[in-house]
Amino acid sequence: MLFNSIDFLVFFPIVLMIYFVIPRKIRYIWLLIASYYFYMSLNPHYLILLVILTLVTYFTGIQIEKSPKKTGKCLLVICLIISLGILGVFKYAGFVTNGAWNLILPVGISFYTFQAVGYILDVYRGNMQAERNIAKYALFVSFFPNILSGPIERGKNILPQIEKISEQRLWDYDRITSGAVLMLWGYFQKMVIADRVSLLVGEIYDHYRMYGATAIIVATLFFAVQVYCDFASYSNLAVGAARIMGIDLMRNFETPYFARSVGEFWHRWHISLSTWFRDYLYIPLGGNRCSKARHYLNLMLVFLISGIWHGAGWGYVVWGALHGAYQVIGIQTKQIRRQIADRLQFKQQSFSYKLMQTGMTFSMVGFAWIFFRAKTIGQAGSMISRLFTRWDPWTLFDDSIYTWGLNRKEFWIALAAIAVLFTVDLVRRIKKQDIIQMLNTQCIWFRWGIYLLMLFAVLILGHYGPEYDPQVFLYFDF
Amino acid sequence: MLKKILKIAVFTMCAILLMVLVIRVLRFKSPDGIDQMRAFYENEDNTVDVLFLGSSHMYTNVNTGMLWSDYGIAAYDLGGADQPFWNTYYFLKEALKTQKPKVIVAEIYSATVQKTHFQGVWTIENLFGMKFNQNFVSSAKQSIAEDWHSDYINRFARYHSRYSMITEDDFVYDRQLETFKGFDPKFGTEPLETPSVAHVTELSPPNEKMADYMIQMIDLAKAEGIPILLVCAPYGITEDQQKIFNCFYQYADENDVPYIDFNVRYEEVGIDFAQDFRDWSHLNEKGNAKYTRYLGDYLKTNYELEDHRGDPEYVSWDQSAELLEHELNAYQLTQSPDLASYLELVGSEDYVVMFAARNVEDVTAVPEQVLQGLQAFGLDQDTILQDGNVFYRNGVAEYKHNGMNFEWFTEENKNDFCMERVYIDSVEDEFGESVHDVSKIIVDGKNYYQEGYAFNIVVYDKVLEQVIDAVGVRNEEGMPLERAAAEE
Repeated sequence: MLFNSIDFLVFFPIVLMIYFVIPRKIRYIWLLIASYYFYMSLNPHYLILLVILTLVTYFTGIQIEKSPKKTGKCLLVICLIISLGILGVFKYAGFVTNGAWNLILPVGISFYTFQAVGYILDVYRGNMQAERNIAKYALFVSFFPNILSGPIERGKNILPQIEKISEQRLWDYDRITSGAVLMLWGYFQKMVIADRVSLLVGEIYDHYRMYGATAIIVATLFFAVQVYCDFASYSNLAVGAARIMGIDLMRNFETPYFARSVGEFWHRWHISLSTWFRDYLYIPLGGNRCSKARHYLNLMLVFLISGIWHGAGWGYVVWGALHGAYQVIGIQTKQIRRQIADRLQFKQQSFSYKLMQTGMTFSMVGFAWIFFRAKTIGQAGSMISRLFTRWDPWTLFDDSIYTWGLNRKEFWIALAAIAVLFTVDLVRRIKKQDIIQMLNTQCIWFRWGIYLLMLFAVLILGHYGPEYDPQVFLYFDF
Repeated sequence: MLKKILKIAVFTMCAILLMVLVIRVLRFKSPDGIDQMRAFYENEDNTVDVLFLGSSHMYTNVNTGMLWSDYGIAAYDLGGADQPFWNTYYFLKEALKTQKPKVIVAEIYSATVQKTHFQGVWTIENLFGMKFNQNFVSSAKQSIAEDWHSDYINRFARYHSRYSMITEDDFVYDRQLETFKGFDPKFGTEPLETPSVAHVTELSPPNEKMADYMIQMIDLAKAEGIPILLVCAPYGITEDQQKIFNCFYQYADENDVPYIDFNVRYEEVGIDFAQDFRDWSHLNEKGNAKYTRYLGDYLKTNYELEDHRGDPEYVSWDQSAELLEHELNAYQLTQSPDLASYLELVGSEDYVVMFAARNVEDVTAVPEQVLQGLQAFGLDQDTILQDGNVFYRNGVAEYKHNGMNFEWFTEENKNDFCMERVYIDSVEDEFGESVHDVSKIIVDGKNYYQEGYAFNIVVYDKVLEQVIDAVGVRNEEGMPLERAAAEE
């Protein structure tokens, strides 16, 4: 079920009510039942895949610990082939056979497969002990808040928490309210921001031949907001829901668009995925402790794979390659750029310089989003060429913007909501505090006023109900 | 610990309170079914004596104001547009929770409209006025195919997006519910050909589900010990439709249910198809008066109905009747053929009338009769020539002539009235013309002044609390009354 559905709004309170009162020792069993029910509600058949993956990785983990190194390696390889194989077949069969073999992607498979594979690699490396309790392990793989769209968790973070859940004090007012407010923020991001701006993005990207450079730029900016809000909202809902239940999931986004370099961007965007690739692909390949050429190769490889992880399409490959190239070029030119800046006496410590770096980074990331969103590379190419051949800045002033998918009222509501988003991220960036923490230091009427405002913004402005098409989370396709 | 529970409780209460306010503003409102059901709940228990049910053939034709003023009958028009009988059945069930009417009158027109088991266009109007309870859910489930149940049962999800369409009406609505008795009159005339179906005796079965629910309604009335009367209002009926109604009349005959088929007794009621209809389906102000009179006489003769005029419990019926009367008068004002008769009508104590005379060069052209009429309001030959302005209310005419630049504010009933004139120096614009002066007659922020006329008259009704007419008059033969084109 989707987080933004009536089903979930019924499911979650019921799960919570029972969770909070059942005997401590069986809490994790209840969570497991709830998680399997949650996953089955989407499609009962795909539960089989989840179970297979769980069993394969569970038994492999235990066996590896018991076996000598060589056998262990064999087991690992077999396990990886099965796990990644299943993922590969479902995800790329259509892509590879050019549409002949098109399978529907089971939701969440990219996420929980990586989660399980990360676990098995950690066990093999001796970074953690294999989990003996099959129910607790199954819960780790299938935990419903993050199973569908992340954050991709580590065994080392989750399994100990599951272990301690029977001792956890659940009735913690501060933690529950904190989790609830985070979920509220997630709903705001998804239903007020992401779903709204997607209308403009959809209009321009689906009919790009009717629009000029200005519309394409605005739509791409809006897409940058959409993909961020859509994805971060899911993570926030996951973290918030888990927090209410006493589990701490990792932070997945850290004000990514304030990054001052593409390298930094990837430390702030989809952190669970980029750290996964770092720990299980990049570093084993050699990381940056090798020759320069090898380093660059590693980077490109990781980002190409990251691109293809996002979807079976050439657009994603190009997007990944671009990000890899940005970083390679960035590293290669770092010295020269520093020298030029010194020579020209740029005030490199100033706010304005840092602002410039942020702007440049955002532009590069934004440019790459075109390939991510366009249906084909051909379309992306066409749109980019239109940026130069259909220059029309006057459309910003002649009310054309209200014909791009959002009428006047909706357009300004979208801008206002984006302003809220910007403020929240700015507070985080400057004060290193979550908005929740910041609000806790304010007067109660102010804090409650904000909560009520957000709640009613979601209830009134949110995209739900028969008047809107159901908006599925973007990353469900990955 | 206690403090935390208290915090949660108070926060929740604030949220609920806000939600109630938000719902009040955003919910659907419509005089085609929603307002009827919603306003019904406002009636004091056990005050409604005659309950009318059915489609617009009922609630645009049965004048509850006339039934009250002329007979003292407390009647309520509880219906919805093209309402299928399953929705009518649940309206009846809701009504019986708080009311024990002496008579139920059911209009059967919908039997010819509804051909299928589920309805399309007017589903929301026939459902969303109900309180959110079991009857509503049952009614909704009967109205819609199963796949779409949740689209209608989750009402807030349906109308929350109205935030972009809210108007002043959404905020004053709740006040107006108290005096709404379901009657939504239509005005205007469309001449029609008189149908002739008296000779039709064949039967043509209606939709099963419709028949079934009509029977359930009749049974329910019998079980409650309330006499039920079936009616079919006059309209542009066809022979095929009469065949369907004949089935109901046959059932009624077989089950001792009285009925009145108005489509076989046009002459008896005095219905004139050339004069009495707004469109092929609905009577106009002339027609509904005749129709209601016939029903009033019939009800008074055949049922024991108390005359509640003067009864303090029935104040809302007094107020409702007064509003309806004012609405009728307002309409008749706008149909007034010439200025002389117009001036006779606007002298009411319930009106605030504003006059502005501008640039009248030749007063002698004004007919004597009109001049006398204008004098009653404080305008004579001299004041007209001086471009005078008059506020007329409570029988008193306040006159001002303030030359070229003035702003004249006054307040009545918490509404703001302003007459002003601003003179701009003669300026040549790009067309070589010079701009003179701009006059305004403003009521509650809206300007009703029309340029280019010798006289501007704006009439505000204090009971209806709105401007009911704004005319411009040319000082020429016939003194025609002209009105601004209606806004789309």
